[in-house]
Amino acid sequence: MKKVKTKIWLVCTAVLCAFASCGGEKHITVISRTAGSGTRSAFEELVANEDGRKLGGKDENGKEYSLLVKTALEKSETGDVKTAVASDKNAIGYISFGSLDSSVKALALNGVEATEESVSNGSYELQRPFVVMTNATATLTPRAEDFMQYLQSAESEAFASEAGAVWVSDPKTRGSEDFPVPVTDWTAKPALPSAGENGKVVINGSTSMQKFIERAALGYAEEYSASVTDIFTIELQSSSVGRKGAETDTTGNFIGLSSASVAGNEKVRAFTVCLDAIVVIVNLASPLQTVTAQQLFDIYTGKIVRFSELGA
Amino acid sequence: MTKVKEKIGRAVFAVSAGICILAVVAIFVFLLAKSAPAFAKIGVFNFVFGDTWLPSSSDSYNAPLSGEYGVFTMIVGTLATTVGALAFGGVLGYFTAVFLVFFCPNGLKKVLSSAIGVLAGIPSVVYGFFGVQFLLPILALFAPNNGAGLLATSLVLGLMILPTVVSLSKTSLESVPRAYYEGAVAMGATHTQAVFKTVVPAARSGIVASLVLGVGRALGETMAVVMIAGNSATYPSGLFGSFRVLTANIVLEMGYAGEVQEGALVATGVVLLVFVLLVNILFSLLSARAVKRAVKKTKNKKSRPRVGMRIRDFFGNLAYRMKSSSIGKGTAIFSGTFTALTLVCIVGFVLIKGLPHVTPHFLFGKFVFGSENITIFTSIVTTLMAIALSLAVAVPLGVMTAIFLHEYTAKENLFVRIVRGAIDILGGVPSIVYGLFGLITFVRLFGGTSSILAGGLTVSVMLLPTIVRSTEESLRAVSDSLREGSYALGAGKLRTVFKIVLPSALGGILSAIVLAMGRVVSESAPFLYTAGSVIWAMPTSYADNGATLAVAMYRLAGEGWHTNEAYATAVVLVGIVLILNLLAGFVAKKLQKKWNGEKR
Repeated sequence: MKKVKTKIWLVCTAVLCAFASCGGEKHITVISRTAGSGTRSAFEELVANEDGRKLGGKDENGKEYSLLVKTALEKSETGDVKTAVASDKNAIGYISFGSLDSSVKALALNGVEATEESVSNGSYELQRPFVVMTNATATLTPRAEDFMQYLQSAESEAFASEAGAVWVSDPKTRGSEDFPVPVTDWTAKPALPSAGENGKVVINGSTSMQKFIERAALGYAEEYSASVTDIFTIELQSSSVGRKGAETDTTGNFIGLSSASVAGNEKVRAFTVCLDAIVVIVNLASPLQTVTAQQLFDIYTGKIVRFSELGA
Repeated sequence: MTKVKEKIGRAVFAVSAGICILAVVAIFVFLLAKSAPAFAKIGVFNFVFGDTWLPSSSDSYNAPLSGEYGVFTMIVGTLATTVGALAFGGVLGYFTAVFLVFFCPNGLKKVLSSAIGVLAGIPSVVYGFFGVQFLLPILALFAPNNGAGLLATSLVLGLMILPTVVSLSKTSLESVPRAYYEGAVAMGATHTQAVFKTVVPAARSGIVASLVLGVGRALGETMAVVMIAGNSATYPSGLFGSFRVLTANIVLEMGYAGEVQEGALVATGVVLLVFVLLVNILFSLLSARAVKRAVKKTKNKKSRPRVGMRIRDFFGNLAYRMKSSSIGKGTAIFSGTFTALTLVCIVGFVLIKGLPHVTPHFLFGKFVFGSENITIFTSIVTTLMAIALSLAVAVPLGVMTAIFLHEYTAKENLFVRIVRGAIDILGGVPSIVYGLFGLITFVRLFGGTSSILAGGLTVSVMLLPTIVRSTEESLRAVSDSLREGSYALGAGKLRTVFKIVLPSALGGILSAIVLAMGRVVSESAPFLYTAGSVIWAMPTSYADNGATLAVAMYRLAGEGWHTNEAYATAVVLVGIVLILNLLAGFVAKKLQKKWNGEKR
C-alpha cells in the first residue's frame, strides 16, 4: 500500500515539475494558412531571408517546398487566423489588409506601415494582386460581359477602397506590358442583361476577395434595382478553385477570382483590379510594433521562438 | 392474385435490401476509382508512410509531381488522439456506467441516463466550439502554446465517445444475471465488492466491445478535432503542439484541392475507412465472442486465459488491481458526477453566452446580401429541406430492408448475411467519408455545384443503417403470437406485416425517425462539400445550395467576427437536439401505450 502511495506522489511531482518548467515566457504561436490558400502562397513567396531564400514555393527543380516551422498552426480561413491571434498574447499571423479590424494589431514591415500610399508606390513589400478572370475562349453571356465591364470601369475604385485594397488605374499594371487593360466607361444597360440558361452568373475564387466582390456585386445590383442573389451565385472557396473554374468554363457564365497573379496563363482572360497588402498581425496586448522581413522569416522557420529574441 | 401480390411484396423488400448492398459497393468503387490514380502516381507506400504533406494545387496526373503527399504524420496523429480519447472518455465512461447501474439513486439514474443521451446528440461543431472558447483558454494557462494539441483533442473526443461507452457498458452490466450479485453478497461480500469482483468481470467482454466502438467513433470524428488540433501536418509532440488528423486533412483542403491533391484527399478517406473497418471487424468479433463465452461459461467453467482476454481483464479488473474496491466505488461516484457536471457545463456555457443573441431577427430575419446583421433563417429552411429529402429516401428504404431482414428471412442465407454485413459497414463509415462520397457522386452528377439535393441524398445513405437497425429492433419486440394470430385468421404475410406488425412497432420506428432527424441537424461534415458552405439566400428549389445549421455554425465560428452569432446558433442546435430527444422518448412511450391499451 505504501509503495503505491509513494508511486502516486512521484508521478504527481513529475507532472507538476513538467508544468512548472513550462513557465516563463511562452513560445510564439506561429499561425499560417493551409496549403493551397492564395494568401499563404503569396506570403511564402514574398517573405525571404537576406540571402533571398523564400519561405516556400517552388525550388529550382520545380519541386514544392515549405520551410514553415512544424509547430505552426494551420488555419483554413482568414477569420480563424484572426480569432486565434485575437485570443492569444503570443500569436503572430498574417491576413489580407481588407480583413483587418480592431480585434488585432497590424505590424509595420521594415518600418513601413501598410497604407494606400505605401502599397501603391511599392514601399510596403508584402502585396499581391486581386485578379478577376473569365475563360479565354468561351463567349461570355451578356450579363457576365456587362459585369466584367463594370469591374473594369472606374466604378470599382470605391469597392476596392471599401475592401481595404488599392485600386489600380495604370493599364499596364492592370494587364501586362503587351496587353494593357485600360479603365473603361460603363453605363447601365436599359435592362439587366441575360445570363443565359443558367440564370445566374457564377462567381468563385479567393476568400480574400470576399469584401471586394460583395461590395461590387451589391453596387451592380443596385444599378439595376435587383437583388444580388437573383443575379449571382457567389461561393468563394480559394484562388485555385477560381482559376481552375475559369480555365475549364464553357458556359461563359463563370467569373473567377484569384488573389495570386495569373500572368502567363493563356487559358484565361484576366486583369488586376486592385492591389492588396498582406499584413502581419499580433495580439492587441503585444508590445511589438514593427518587424523586419528577416525576423519574419526566422519566426516562420522556427529560428526565433520567443518574442523577446526580437530585441523589442 | 394474392400469391402474385405476396411475391411482388417480397421482391420489393428484397430490392430495398439490395440497395443497401449497392450503397456500400458504390462507396467503395467510387472512392477507389477516384483515389487509384493518386495512389498510382504517389505510390501506396510513399503515401501511407511518407511523413511530408506538402501538396501543390497545380499538380496534375500527366506531369511530374512537384508536391509531396505523405499522410503518416496524420495516421500517427489520428491514432494518438484516439488513444488519448480512450484513456479519458473510455475510463470515465466505464466508471460512469458502473455508477449508473450500481451506485446511483433511482431518481437520478433516469435523469442522468437521458442526459447522456443528450450528450450523444450534441453536434460535433458545438463540441469543437466549446473546446475553442472554453477549454483552450483554460489549457493555455499552463501550456507553452495556446492550448491546442493532443490534450485538448483527447479531452473533447473523450467526451464525445463517452455516451457510446456508457450506454453499451450499461447494457452489458445490466444483462449480468442478478444471481451473480446475490451469490457474492450471500458469501459475505459487501455491495462494492460484489459489484467490482463478480458483476464487472462477468460483463467485461461487453464493456470492451463498447470501448472498441468508442474507438471507431473517435477515429472518424472530424469537425471538433479540426477546430482544436492546430492542424499543422506534423507528428503530435507531447500534450501540446499542433498536429493534424486524417479527417481534418480532408475538410481543410478539399475546398482548395488541385487535381492530384483531390485524389490524395480521397485516398486519405480510403486510409481512414480501412482503419474504421478494421476496428468494426474487431468489434463484431468481440461481441460474437462475448455471446459465445456466455454460452460456454454455463458448460465448462475454466477457459485458458489468452492474450486478448488478458487485455480485457485489464479493464474489467481495473478496480480489482487497485486492491481495493472502495477506490473503485469512489471513482465510479466521481465519474458519474463529473459526467453530469460536464453536461451542465457545456449546455450552460452555450446558453449563457448564446441566449442573449437569439433574437427574432436572428432566427427569422430576411437574408440581406453582404449585411453584417446575420440571420440564420435560410439555414433553418435549408436544414428542414435536407431533413425532408433524406428521410423521404432513407425511411422507406430502411424500413423495407428491416422488414425483409426480420419478417422474410427465417434462416440466414448468403444474401441476408451480405445485407447485414453491408449495414454494419455503412454504420461504421465516418461522416466525412460520406461527404467525400457525396462530392464525387451526387455533386458531380448534378452538374458539379453543390446543392441541397446532393447533400440530402448523401445524408440519406448515412441514415440507412440507423433506421434499419432500430426498425429491426422494434420488429423483434413485436410478439410472435400477434403474427400467429393474424395468420390463424387467414391473413397473408403482407397483410400481417402492414396491418399487425408495423402498427405494433410504430412507436419504435417513429422514435428512430426522430433521432435520425437529430442526426441530420447535427451533422456538418457530410454537408460541407455537398450542400454548400455559405449562408446564402433563401433556397427556392433543391437545386440551390445552402448551409445547414451545423455548417452555418462552423462557418460563423470560423470567420471570427460573428462569434456571438455562432453562440446563438449553438443554442438553436442544442435546443433542437434536446427537443428531438424528448420527443423520441415521448413518441415511443405514447404509441406503445396506446397500442397495448387497445389490444388488451
